Amino acid sequence: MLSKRKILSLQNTSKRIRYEVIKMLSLSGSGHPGGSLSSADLLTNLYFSNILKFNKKNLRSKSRDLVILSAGHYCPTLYAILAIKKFFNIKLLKNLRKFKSPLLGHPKLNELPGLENSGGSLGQGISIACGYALMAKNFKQKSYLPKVYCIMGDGEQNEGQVWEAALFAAKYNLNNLCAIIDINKIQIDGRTKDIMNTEPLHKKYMSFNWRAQRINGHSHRSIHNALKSFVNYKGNKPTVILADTVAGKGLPSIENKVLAHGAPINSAHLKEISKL
Amino acid sequence: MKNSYDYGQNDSVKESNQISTNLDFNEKNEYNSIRDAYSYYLTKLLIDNQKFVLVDVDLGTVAKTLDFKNKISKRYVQSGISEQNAVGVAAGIAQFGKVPIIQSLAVFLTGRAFDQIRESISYSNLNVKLVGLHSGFTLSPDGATHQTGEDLALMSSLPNFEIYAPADHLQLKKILPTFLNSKKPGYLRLFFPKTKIISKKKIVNKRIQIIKKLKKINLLSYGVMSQKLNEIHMELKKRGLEVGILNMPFIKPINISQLIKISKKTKILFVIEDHNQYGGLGSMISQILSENFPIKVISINSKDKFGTTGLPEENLNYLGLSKKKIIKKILRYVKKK
Repeated sequence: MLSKRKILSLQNTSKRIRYEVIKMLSLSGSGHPGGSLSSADLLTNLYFSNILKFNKKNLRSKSRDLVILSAGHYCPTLYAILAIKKFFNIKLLKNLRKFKSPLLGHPKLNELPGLENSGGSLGQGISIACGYALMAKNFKQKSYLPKVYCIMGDGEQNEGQVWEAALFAAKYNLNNLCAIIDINKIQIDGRTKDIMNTEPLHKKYMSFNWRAQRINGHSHRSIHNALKSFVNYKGNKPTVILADTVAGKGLPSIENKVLAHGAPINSAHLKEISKL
Repeated sequence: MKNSYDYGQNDSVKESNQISTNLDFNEKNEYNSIRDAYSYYLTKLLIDNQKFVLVDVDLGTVAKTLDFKNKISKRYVQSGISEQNAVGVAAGIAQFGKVPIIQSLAVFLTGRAFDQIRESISYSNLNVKLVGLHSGFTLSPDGATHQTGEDLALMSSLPNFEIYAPADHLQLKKILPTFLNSKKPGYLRLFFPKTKIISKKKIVNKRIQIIKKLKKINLLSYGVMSQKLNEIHMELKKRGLEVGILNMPFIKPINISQLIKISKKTKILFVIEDHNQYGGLGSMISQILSENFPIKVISINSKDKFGTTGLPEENLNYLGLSKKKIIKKILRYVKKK
């Protein structure tokens, strides 16, 4: 259980990350605020609540935990987290999407310390996560079994590859794999329920032999409990955390609007978020 | 024993070895299936070296590697009929530090999973080995769905990738360790019919193999089409035309300096391939030579057409790639000069 103090501290960190994201996006003039903001609490909790065994000192260690950002367009949030965690200099954040910047519009493997995949074309990360998780199980070096986390969006669930990977993870009993799906209910062309309905997602994953938990993706207590229960899980199924979120969360002027996905962010938005 | 799908002097025997799971390979034979040779040489490399992981997509039977799973246990992964997932899984395996080998029919592997190959392997520059079985048009009885005249166009467009195309089992024996031990992602292009050893001449890494001395008119090919070059050479000689013969098992990175050297001695270079007109080796060589040392390059290929069903030789004839049709084209261009 998280203490009230710890929850408050996570909330503050989330807030700071949202601010950094909006600052980055206002400087770059393009990007994806909708998912970056809806996933901010999930990613913050993963990196800042002692769940993840990953830091700048064990970047290449075989016993590190892995985070695969399959929804590559959420990368401003990941960049902000890695910068605050000192994987690289925070001054780099202002270069998001700038010419030859390692902070590409979508992440590229090996461009920055802490990135574990290239992502942009949706649905690919979950397969990468499966391949890594299987090797981590088959060639476990010490007593610790590395955990692999894969961040996806709900629109991403349209991709057939996701379901190929879902079969694979269950077949190989990848109990060290945790997919985290940020269900913000929008995609570029509209509401996910209208564009291509994928609900009920928990029933689908359960029928694919996964262990599914549905939570409020903005409650640090719920997120932490779900992650903790994955870490302590002793069964042999892969885990999916289905997190209900709000697109553009934290920036009221775009919250829960379809345009939040790729809305251009400007200084007015930065002003708006710094007042909150 | 030969069968009607194999190359050789006479196509007389009727049964197919397409679904036979037994290894039909003898190193001492001049006449072998490159697929069976692949399985034979891969076993040794795979068992000895712990870094390799084999990824199957329900075509281990076709690759004749199905029984590997007992030999390498934790280094064997079966993803089922799911090329896209399997390529991603392979990327994850490479990210872990192992070297995955993923094998499927060339058309499904390069075509179905192209986006995954592009982003998760090529762009990420991960060391993954792709093996395209039954490339070109010689898996003819299955029809054009199972043939491919596009794989080189797709794979050569990807930065970081190396491309290998051996013409017989002797070449494969030399090339397989190079392909597998390279630190770069790679594509190995294999084919279906049984074939003869085209030359006992040494293969040197990254170099174009000169099988018959360079003349003013030279023929260049790779893979299964190189099989025809010796016979075409003999036939043309009978008709009073001396040609040089080149075989190109290392397609990418392409050896530009050697190509320029060859073109300096050449008037017409014929590039013969079981691939489509656009994006194949003919396209690559034409582009390089027109930029560096322009000579006449004539591409003999499937001319923007899909294959059909039937025996390999019937399909190749349909696409203008039988020995007879190739000779006709060569003579026509030479007379034009």
